[in-house]
Amino acid sequence: METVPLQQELDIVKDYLALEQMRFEERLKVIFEIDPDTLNQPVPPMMLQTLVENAIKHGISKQINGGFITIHSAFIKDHHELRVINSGRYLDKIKEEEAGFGIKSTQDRLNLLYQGKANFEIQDLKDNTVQSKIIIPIAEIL
Amino acid sequence: MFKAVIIDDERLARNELKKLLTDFSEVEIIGEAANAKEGIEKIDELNPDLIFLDIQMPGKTGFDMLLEVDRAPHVIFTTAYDEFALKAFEVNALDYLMKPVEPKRLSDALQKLKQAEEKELAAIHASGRGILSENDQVFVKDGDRCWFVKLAEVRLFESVGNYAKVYFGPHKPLILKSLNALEDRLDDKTFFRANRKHIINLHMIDKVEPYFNGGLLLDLKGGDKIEVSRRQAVKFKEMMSL
Repeated sequence: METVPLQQELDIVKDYLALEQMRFEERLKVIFEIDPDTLNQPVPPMMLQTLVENAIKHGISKQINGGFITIHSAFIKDHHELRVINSGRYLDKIKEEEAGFGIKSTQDRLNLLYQGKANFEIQDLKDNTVQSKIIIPIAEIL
Repeated sequence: MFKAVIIDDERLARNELKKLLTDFSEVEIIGEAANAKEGIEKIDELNPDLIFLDIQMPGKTGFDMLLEVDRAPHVIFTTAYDEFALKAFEVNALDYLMKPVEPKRLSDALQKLKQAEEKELAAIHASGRGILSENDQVFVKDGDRCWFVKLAEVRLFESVGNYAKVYFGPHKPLILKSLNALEDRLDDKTFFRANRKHIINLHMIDKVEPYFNGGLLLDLKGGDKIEVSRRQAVKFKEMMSL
């Protein structure tokens, strides 16, 4: 399976969020926390984008006063960690049967691509905040 | 001229609709709301003839909002999803517009609105009298049985789906009329909308008691107990005091 440099994925995410910003106006606050050293890291294409779309659909668009999305990329120990943190609640919103296609396919893709060496989780943090986290191995870039 | 309120969480969507509506002199936008809660407030405050209502909004959907308004104006839904189309007609929407709204469809929807309005007016004219007084008699048919009932003898109208149950004497036949339509035709000196489901005859009240949440409980002759919603209880007290 192919991967793309994080930079390329982020370009898509930024374009997408610029559109959503037109729609939500002051109800959407976007924060990027990207370690520049991670920009060349290979990532599965459209994976981060899917998580950001979910954050908008299930998070921001359900909040009367809107909220924020933080996109975070960093090296943590010997892994590359991508996090999407947004306003909203995960547990009381998503019933098991509708644990979206996006989440299921993210899990499946990571398993295929990294044979168990990657991890994906979504959890509620405090203060009406949800975090999705992808942990993948660091690639040696030639 | 229709006074309209636009209820949509996206400002750009409201602007787009406002811009399209400048071509229709028969519609005047008198207010806007960005969610269901604001929408209910605007409807209560401005009493519009028409609302353009978005379905997907944060907090409550447009459908949920409609369930909470006491007296809904004409509704034209605006939505990006056609899966809601069918449901729109079940809640008695006049029409629905898919976003992005096409001027032609908007024009058709407003045409429908005019027709609906003319029909309503015609119905009132056809009846010749408009408001019915308590001395008027109405014809009620339920299956094979028919009654000519003096409105003064009716103690209660109860909403049952699209029908209303008319309580008088030992009878309670169904008539094909919405409570809102009845309310428009009944004299408000005699009949009072106690809550979403009931209109009561004020002369048939035996006892008034305070009830939960600032509401009231009315004992009617014949033994029915009817709750007055908090909002209506305020009106009730105003009407009944000096």
